[in-house]
Amino acid sequence: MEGSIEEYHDLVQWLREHSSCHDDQVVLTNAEKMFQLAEWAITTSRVNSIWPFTFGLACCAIEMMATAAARFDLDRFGAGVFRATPRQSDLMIVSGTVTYKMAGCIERLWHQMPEPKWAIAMGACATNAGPYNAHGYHVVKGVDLIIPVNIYTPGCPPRPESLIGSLLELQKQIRTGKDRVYRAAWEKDRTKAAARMRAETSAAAEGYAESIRAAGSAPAFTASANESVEQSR
Amino acid sequence: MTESESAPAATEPLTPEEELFRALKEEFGEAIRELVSAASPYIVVEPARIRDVAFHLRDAFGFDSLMCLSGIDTLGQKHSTKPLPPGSPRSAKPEPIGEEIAVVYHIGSVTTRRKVALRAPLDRRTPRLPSVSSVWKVAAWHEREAFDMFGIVFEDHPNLTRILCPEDWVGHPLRKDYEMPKRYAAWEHARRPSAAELAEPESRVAGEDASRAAEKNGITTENSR
Amino acid sequence: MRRLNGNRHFFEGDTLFVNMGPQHPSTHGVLRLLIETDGEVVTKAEPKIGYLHRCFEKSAEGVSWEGVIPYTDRMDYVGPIGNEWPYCLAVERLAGIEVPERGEYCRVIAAELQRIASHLLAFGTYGLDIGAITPFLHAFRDREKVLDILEYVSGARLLYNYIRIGGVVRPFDEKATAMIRDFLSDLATRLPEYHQLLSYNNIFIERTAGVGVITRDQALTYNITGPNLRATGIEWDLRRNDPYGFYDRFEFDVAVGTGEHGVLGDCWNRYIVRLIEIEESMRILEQAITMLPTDGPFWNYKRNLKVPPGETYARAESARGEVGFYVVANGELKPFRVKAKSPCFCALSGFPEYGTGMLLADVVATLGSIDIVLGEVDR
Repeated sequence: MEGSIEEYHDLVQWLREHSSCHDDQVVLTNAEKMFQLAEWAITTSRVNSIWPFTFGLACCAIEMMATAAARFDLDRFGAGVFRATPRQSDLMIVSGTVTYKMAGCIERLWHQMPEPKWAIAMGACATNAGPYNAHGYHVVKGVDLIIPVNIYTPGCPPRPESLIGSLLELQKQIRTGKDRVYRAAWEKDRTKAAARMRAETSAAAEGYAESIRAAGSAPAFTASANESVEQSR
Repeated sequence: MTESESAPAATEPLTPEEELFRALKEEFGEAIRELVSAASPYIVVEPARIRDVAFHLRDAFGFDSLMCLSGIDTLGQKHSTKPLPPGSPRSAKPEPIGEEIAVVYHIGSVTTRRKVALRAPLDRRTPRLPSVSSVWKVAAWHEREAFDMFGIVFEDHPNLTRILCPEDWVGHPLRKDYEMPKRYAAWEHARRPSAAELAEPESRVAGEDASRAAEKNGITTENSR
Repeated sequence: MRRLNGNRHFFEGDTLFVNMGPQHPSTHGVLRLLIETDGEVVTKAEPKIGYLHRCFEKSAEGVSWEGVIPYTDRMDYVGPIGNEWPYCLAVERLAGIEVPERGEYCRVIAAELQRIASHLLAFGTYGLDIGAITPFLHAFRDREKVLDILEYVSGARLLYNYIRIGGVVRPFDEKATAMIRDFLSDLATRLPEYHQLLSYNNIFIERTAGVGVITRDQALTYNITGPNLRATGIEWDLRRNDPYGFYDRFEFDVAVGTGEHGVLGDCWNRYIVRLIEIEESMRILEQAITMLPTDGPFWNYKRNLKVPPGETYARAESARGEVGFYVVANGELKPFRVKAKSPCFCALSGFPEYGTGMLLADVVATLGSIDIVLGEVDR
């Protein structure tokens, strides 16, 4: 969210000036500005309250749980409300290997999620079947053959920092409207779009994990973890 | 238990496997073929008698748990796992192995802490043998897995259907001549569910699925025989 | 149309199918349970598995002997070291490889740390299943410390690839043992908190005591092993009854169900066995870090390992029970056949028997208490 409020500074200014004005005339002539403001407000809310779907497939799900738990605390980014039903969630984190038996369920669950919705392919398996690519007769070679994916997170399994990096990257995509571009491209030609998105987004998440590693491993343990445990009491 | 264990009055010390082998040989005669002393020794059993042997092991020797039941396809296995006889020359090659599908039973006992392995060699074209799921109930799922992966048919099995692969899967993946499928038919025809389908209550889908699966199960088992 | 009036048998035999999973928060992965209910009572529960069938056994036939170890990790991703060990035992037995003393001690330390981590996760998620969210946060806080230690020695947070054929990849050094000491003293103060929070919480006892009873006979015929077997009162632990590694050098007790609440073999006893096992693992760890040699070889590494023809079955006690590997070698650079016996597979196969006749809400409690990992069930 940081910085984006500046873009709308004049809009906010305008709102302050006219907020006490009940003249319909003003609203009509400034309808366009009004829509812009509404769009900004909606996007900002969406970006900061992505509700992921409680959807664990395999090993990556354990790391997803760790990301949501005390130490890494996904709630700091507004994405800690894991919903147990597709009908209340915006984000599907495909955390694990997708098999043919499971593929139908995933597609169905994806269609049950209300728009707008996003998907993160967490880990090598969801990206392209990972270690099971060569001999996995029963493994789908990438979840983007089934649903459109916004972010690919590399790793087997990815560290929680990587998943947080992917979430931040997804927030960037939503803010810039790039997610809709990807989605449209996927609907048109899934394999081509998937290849492009893989290259672009996995680099970003990897870069984030790298920077964390360079800065000296995981976030400090004691303070934040104990705090959130205390809060939960 | 005591009767069979004390039966072979051995003059020289026998390993537990040899002791067990002799006791089984006395009981079942020709159906117990040989004792192979691999890293984990195993007893080769006539497949048609496997259930009788299993019942005897459970009731007379206290082998109360089936630890593992595995299928194995020996197509392409160059060497037998049998060790060479002692004193054979360095140049001696292990005997070549026939092409077969076998079922290997690893059986253990919690009360007596003994272990034994049985092996039932089968014909590769029509592998079938009696199910031991009436002896140890856990065998039911292990046998379904062996059926799924190798196409081994277990007679008198309560529900011999595929367990890991989808029910419309073609072929038995762990057979050595299995070819990696390029595509999977069910997903070739995959289509997006319509709005009406999505609005269906879940419970109804489950019920439908159950009856459909039951139908399919019958067909699958029939075809594979 | 049948008329409701005057027909008192109207509801008899009128059952409802409930489809639980494969996407369900309390199935611990992608398990599908097909449940037939008569009112609130479950009359039939049929687990459908295979939703995470990742072709482990086929993959194992296609990679080198060393290359199988990461795949074994991915079977039981909550306690991977418990799976690496039996596989390495089998290969070492076939190839005749000796493990150096230091390596054996490192294996014990890693396996016991892993057992604690796995049981902590079981404790946390079981709380979630029953409806308590706080234990989850507590358990994950402590589990992260184990992960830190294992990450320090292996380089990975979750799937370690730590135990190798002939030893371990890196020994526990002084810093690691110091970390373990810290962790142990910390965990000792936490355990009473856990008991207070969940074990002896009245609501928890009401939900779990006497629910989902697995009898001794059922446990044996379904070959249910590990904490689930010990909860029925049978003292069977491979570390004690069929010792591998250096387990015969340590003093520890085999945790069995106490029967303090409910009856032996119910959910509460299965749960308490895990917590007692954490204490026993702490005892083993304390002995192991004092006995651990500070120098010497830890890995008897063989480049391009070729295993002579032979076959064997090796088993070890993982956090979930007896994990076994039936390995057949053909004198090549890769295995001819690897079959994994998974304790969760066996435990789940008995679910139609011990999971019926209870209330629908108790199915969740029972399923959580047998602590399955679907990666291992489906392989």
